[in-house]
Formats: sequence, C-alpha cells, structure tokens
Amino acid sequence: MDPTQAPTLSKGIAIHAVGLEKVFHDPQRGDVRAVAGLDLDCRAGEIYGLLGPNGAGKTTTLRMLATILAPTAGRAEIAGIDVADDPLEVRRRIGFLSSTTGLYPRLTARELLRYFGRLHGMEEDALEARIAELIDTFDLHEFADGRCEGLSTGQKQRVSIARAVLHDPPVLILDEPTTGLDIIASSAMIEFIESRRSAGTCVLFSTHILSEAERLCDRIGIIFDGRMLAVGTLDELRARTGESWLEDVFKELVRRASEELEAAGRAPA
Amino acid sequence: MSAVAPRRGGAYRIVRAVLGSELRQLVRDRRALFSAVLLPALLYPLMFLSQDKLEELSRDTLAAREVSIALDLARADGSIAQRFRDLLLQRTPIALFDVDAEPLTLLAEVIPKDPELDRERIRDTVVELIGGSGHLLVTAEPDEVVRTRTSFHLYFDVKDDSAREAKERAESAIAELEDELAETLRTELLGTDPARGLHITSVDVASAEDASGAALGKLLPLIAILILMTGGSYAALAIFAGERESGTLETLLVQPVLAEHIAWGKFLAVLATALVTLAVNFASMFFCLAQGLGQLPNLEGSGGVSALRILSGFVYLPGAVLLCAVLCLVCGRARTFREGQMTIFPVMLAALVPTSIAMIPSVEMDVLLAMVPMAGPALALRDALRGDLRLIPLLAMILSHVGWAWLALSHVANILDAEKILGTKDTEAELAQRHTVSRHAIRWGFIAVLVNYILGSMLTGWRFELGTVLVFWVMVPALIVLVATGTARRTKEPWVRELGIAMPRWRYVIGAMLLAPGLARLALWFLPLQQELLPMPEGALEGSELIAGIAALGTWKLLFLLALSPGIMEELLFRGALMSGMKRDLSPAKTVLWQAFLFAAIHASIYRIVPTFTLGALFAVIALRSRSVIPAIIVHVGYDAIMVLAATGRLEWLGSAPSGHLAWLILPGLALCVLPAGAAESQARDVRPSPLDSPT
Repeated sequence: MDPTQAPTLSKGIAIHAVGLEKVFHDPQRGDVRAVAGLDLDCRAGEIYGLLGPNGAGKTTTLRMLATILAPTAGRAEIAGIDVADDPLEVRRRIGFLSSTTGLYPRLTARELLRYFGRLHGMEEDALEARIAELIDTFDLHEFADGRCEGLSTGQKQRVSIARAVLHDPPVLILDEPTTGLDIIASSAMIEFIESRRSAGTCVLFSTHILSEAERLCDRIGIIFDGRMLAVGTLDELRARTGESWLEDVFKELVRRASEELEAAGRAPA
Repeated sequence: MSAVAPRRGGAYRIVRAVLGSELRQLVRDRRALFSAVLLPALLYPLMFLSQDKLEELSRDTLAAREVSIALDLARADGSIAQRFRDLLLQRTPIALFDVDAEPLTLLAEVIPKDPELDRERIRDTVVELIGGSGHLLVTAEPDEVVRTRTSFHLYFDVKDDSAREAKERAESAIAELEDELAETLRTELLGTDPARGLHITSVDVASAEDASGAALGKLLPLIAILILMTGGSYAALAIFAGERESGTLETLLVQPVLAEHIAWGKFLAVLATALVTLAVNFASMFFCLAQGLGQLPNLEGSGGVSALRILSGFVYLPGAVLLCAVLCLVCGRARTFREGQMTIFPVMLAALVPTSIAMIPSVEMDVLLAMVPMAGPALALRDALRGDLRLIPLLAMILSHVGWAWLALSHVANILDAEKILGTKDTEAELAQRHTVSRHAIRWGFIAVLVNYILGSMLTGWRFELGTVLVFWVMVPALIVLVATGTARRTKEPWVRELGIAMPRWRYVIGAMLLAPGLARLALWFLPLQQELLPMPEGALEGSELIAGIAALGTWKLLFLLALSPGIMEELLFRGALMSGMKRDLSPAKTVLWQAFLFAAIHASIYRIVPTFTLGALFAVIALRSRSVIPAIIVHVGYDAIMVLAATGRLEWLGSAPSGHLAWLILPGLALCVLPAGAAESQARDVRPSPLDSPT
C-alpha cells in the first residue's frame, strides 16, 4: 500500500480487534493468559478509554495493537491494515506513548525528533519543517536545543508527545499516559488528548484513574482478567449497572465478573 | 488528514540514522570517551614513564652508584698499575685515591694466632686506611711464588651494597687486564693465536623491518584484543543495555523499521568505537616508540616498521568484527548495565585463551588453526607484521571468520525481538529482586578474587609462611563471614547455616577419599601433557625457585600450609558461603559453572586454568549432591596434600608407572559422589529437608 494515500478515517473504523488473545510462556509459572479473547472497536475522532486494575491486560492489549507483541490468537486491524500482515505499515499510522517512555539523555529534543523522523523515512526538508511546527505547538522553544537529561518531567512529557505525533498519525495509542506525572503535567496531557478529538484523531488510552476516563472518554471499555466486561458511553454503563459513579459502575461490573468466574470454576466440580 | 509523506530510503538510510544517533550519544558520554579514547591513548605514555622511573631507581641502586676505591699499587709493575687504573676509571661513576697499605702488610707478616682476632685487626686497619668515604681497598704486589705475576688483594665489607659493587668493578677490571696481558703474550710468542683455526661470522639475513615486525607481532594480537574489548564493551553496554535503562526501547520498537536494521546500526556503532579505540591505541604506541619515550620488550625502537606493514594489521579486521558481534549479543541480552558488565568478563577470558595459545612461539598458522575463532586473526596479524603471511591460511581465516561473524550477527538481529524483551509479565524490578541472593554471591566471588590478587599475593610475597597463614586463617575467613552474613541478611537464616557444614552420608565421605588420590594421579599424568601443549614461559621458573624454597620446609608444616589450610578455607568460601547464595536462585548448572569460573579465576594462572576449572566444577557438584561442604573438603585437602608431596619429591613412587592404576579410583569415587541418589535415599531426603535446600 502506498503510504502517501493513507485511508481517510473520518467516518471509518480506526481500530478493530476481534478475539484478541495473548499467552505468555513463563518458565516459572507456565502459560499465562494475559489477554483472553478481547473485542474492540474504535472510531476516528473518538476518545476511547480502556479502564481496568493493574494486571488486567491493558498494556498487553495496547502493545498488540501497536504491533510490538504478536497476538497468540485473534485479529486486529489499524486503519484497515492487519497488524500481523504488515506491522510496518501499521506503525506508520500510529503514535505510541506509555508512562515508562524515556528519552535519550544525551540527545537534544530537536535531535531526538530528527532521529525518529528519519526512522519514519521522512524527507529532510519536510522533517525540519514539521519539527519547527511541533516546537511551536508544544512550546518547546526554551529547551529544544538542550540535552534531554536536563529536562523536567513535564518538559520531557511534552517532548514525548511531540515525538508520538511527529508523523501525524491518524491513531494514537497511549498506555497510562498520566501515570507518574504531577498535576500540571497530567492536566496538560489531558488537554492534549482532548485537542485530538477536534483534529479527527482516534485516541485509545488506558488508565486506572477513573476521573480521567469520566472527563475525556466518548466511550469506555472496562477490562478485567484479560476480558472486556463492558463497553459503552458513561451513560450506557450507568444504565447497565444502575450505579451513578464510574467507580461504583466499575466495582459492580468486576463483582459480576468474579461471580461468573466462580460459578464457572465450580461447575465442573 | 494524511501522514507526512514518508520516503522509502531503504535499509541503508535506517542503518545510517541509527549509527549516527548512537555515535553522537557516545561522543557526548564522558565515560565512553574515557574508555575509548583517553585510556588507550594514555596507556603507553604512562607505561613508559613508569618504566623509565623504575629503571632509574634500579640504576640508582646498582650500577649507577658512585663507588670510591683506595689503591696501593706502589709495589706492582708500573705499566700494569697504570693500565689497571685506566680500566678502573672506565667503570664510571668511580673515584680513586691512593693510600699506603704498609700497616696491612705488616699485619700479614705477623704469624697468625687467632683467625677471628686477625680478621678483626685487618678490618680495623682497612677502615682506618680507606676512611669513611671509601668502599674498597685494592693492593697489588708481585706474586711471592711467580715473580712475574701480579697479586691483587681486594678488601671489602660484604654487608655494604656499594662495597660489593666496587668489588665487582675491580674484579671485572682485573679480568679484562688479564685478557689483555694474555693476548699480548700470545702475539709476542707465536705471532698469532694457534687456538683460532676456525672463524665464525654470523650474518642476520632478516631485514630490520622483519625483526621489528616479528617482535611487534608477538605483542600486538594480545594488546589488540584487550583494547578492542575495552572500547567495544563500553559502547555495547551503552548502546544496548543503556537503551533499556533509559526506557527508550519500547518507543524504538514501534517505529516503522525492521528490528534487524536497528540492530545493524547499533552493531556498526560498536564496531566503529572499538576500531577507533584500537587506532588511537596503536597510534599512541607508535608515537611513543618513534619519540623514544620507551621500549617494548625485544624491540629496538620502532625499527623501521613501514606504514605498509602497519596497514597489514587490517588482516585482524575479521577478528574485530566477530568480537564486536559477540559483545553486542552479550550486552543485548543484559537488562541493565550491571548485568552486562558481569557477562563481559567471561567473554574477555574466552577471547584471550585462543589468542594466547596462538601466541606461543612454536605455533604455526595452518588452515585448521586459522579457523579457530580469535586464534586465526591473532596468527594472521603476527605473521603479517613479521612479513611471512601465507595466502591459503589467510583465506581460510577470513572465510571462516566472516562465517563466524555472520552467525553472531544473525543473532544480533534477534536481540531486539520484542517478544523476548517484553514478552514476560515480570517487571524488571521483579526480575532484579529474584536474583538478589545469587547476585550478592557472584559479586562477592569477584571481590574475593580481587582481594586475593592484591592482598593475598602481597602477604605471601612478603613472608611465605606467615603470609600463607594470614591469608588462609584471617583473610579468607573474613571473606567467608562477610559473604555468609550478607546472604543470611537476605534469606533471614542464621549465617552459619550458609557454610554448609552438615554431616554428609557415608557414601560421599568414602567417595571423596577415593577421589583424592585418583584425581592427583590423573593430574600428574595431565601436567606433563599440558606442558607440551602450553609450555610455561621463562618467567614461571621463578615459581619453581619458590618450590625449591618450599621444599626445604618440614613435611607437616608444608601439609598444613598448602593442603589443610587451602582445602578447608577455600571450600568453606566457595562451596560453602558463595555457593549457598548462588544455588538459591540459580539453576544447578549455572551454579556449577560460576563456581568453576570463579575458582579458576582466583588461581590466576592460565597454566592451571584447565585443572582448576575442572576441580572447581567437580567440587561444586559433590557439594550440591551431598548437601554438605565436608566431602569437598576431604577431596580438596587430600588432592592438595598428594600434589604438594609429589612436587617436593616426597612421593617419588607416585610418578612410577604402576601407580597409574590409582587413577582408576576416580570411577568408584565419582559413582559414589556424583551419581544421583537412589530412590530410597531421595525419599528419605524429602522427609528431612536440609536447611540448604533452595526455596524452589
């Protein structure tokens, strides 16, 4: 596929996953099923929050969608391209950022952006113009030419965001983007995610902070033990559980799922 | 909206971008600059400078010392006296002054009564004659029997260094004078020397360049491998392990490029750094030699080794490529800097062994040797510098090493396999936690090796007997307690338990008693064989002088110092304190290998590496099987005792042929000590678990 003709996503499905499954082979614990048959659809211009406790399988799901890990079973498409068939083309269309993302301490912000632009195969002229634009957008002027090791957490976060949107991806995958940030930096991140909605980008992000999800998400997917418990707008989820606060919605869904699991566990015995 | 138009630059562009970025980061890394540029550049100036200082010091103490000699030549033949004076004056720095030795002559005429009293009188007289500043008194007079001969008397005090030096100079002057006189007499009588019927002239047909090249060729392969490792290993650590530490790896792996292209770019950066290090180092060496700052052994100046000859050093390139690929492999697997550093040392050893074997003078480069990793390039470099590199072995070396490097490089591409890096649910912190006990043990193993290198060798070098006692009964016990308490702090067990002092089953005790003589006999058969394959260098003869000195000790003292003490203490340290930490979270195979490696390392001798490695592994297996350190102590003490007695000639029978059958004792010994326990016994074990069992 010619990458210059990226498919228009304005009405289409940006992320589409069916029966996604990932099994890790752990020498100590045997096979661990981190994600067990997960369906997910995410439209262009939509902000989708993946909500779940630690170890629910959020990170693994996002890594499979970002082609870092290969699914054990199931299928996933990003902008109509299968992640297993053409991972490189998928990577051209996504911007990926996680809470553990670091920067090269000995490169300046500008050099770092240039490096990743080159890895994306961008033309030098277009790349320089894009970097200048990003420095304006994210207000990196003050520290664009200082080494990353000297930046504050908030400044680093801005450089990381600029890096993730460098190639103007139609899909953003953010793994707990606000974890470890202070209030100012995390509210800047939330503003950035909101700004993407108007730009028509599809944003899929994971979090375990309920207030973030409440504020940002068009739709919320609640994930627990590798499975999707419920998907919908906040109102839909409220209606389904009869709870008004997201926290209670979440607890109610987890309770029901645990009961089902227990019932399934007893059945054969 | 659409993505910014990407250009399909292909692999080359990606590799170049990665290479450029990595090199830029290395250049800005002070530690990288230090290990890749500063250290290799300063190595020779520092080495030569300290060499100069040492030479100055030794010259100052010996030949360079000014001696002052008192002469009484009045009664000797005038021409001989004059010639002797001239010859003495050539042995500078020297001062001569004349005295009248009449009082001494008078003393000699007195009929001797008490030799001790006479000696005292002579000494007093000499001291009086030469005063405080003189070191030696020389008198000369016609011989009492043959009047044409001149009789010299040298009076000196053996306790005084300068006096001994003065005596040596006077003696050499007299010897030279005697030769001159003999020559003159022969010519006078015969006209020519009848003994000189034959005449030898040796002509060295090797060019000066060949000779210097040969001298360099003995050194450069070893230097090259050390320098490549210094520069390359830091770069590999910074580039691979550093990426994980800075948290950039995940980001890198979502870029639309193949992981193998990234790996290639990183590998090239490591190779470039290693080659720069090597170039800086060699340039510094040639500069120092050309400036006359110093000398390498057997090498007179840089001796006109032409630039072309130096460029022939490029034959080492396949070796450098292979070494860097292996470094990338090793560092790529490491999760952190520290983990990488721990694995580099074994790589360095693995690379040094084939290189040092190849550097034995009698080894010729043939096709087979050329294909041995790192031995082939070393031989090619040696022969290229010497100017007799042959084409067929060279081609074999290049082809085989391209193959080896390709093999290693194809794995380098897999290093960045995300499934392996991220495909575990463990966080890195959890992984790091899990190995804390074994890491502590391995770290202390290296510390013990270093402490023994520095403190241990200082102590035994200072006074052999006392030093050995201090090493084995103070230094090693201190290490044992430190290691065991450190492990105990992590495992929350009493530290004495970590030593593994438990009563073993009888089969292990009996097996150990059989193994000791069997192993010793096998070693006596193996050592001459090794001597043939890997002859000890001249320097190692100092060791045999030491053995001669040791042989003078009493048998019981000897057994205590060299068998009982090391046997008990080394086992308590290695198979006790260190191993109980290692086996807690390492597999038995890894535990045994680490044991063998550290045990070989502490013995610090390439000539003993095979026996010590094997013994270390065997002792570890015995201790693991028997769940006690005692059988290992029995084998170790017994083996050392027999070897010490054999080496000092107290067990000559052991060298004889019939004793060879003793080696068969190994088989029942191994059967008892190493074979898995029977079903009944393992059941019994389950009922009564040992406190040393690993928690898994």
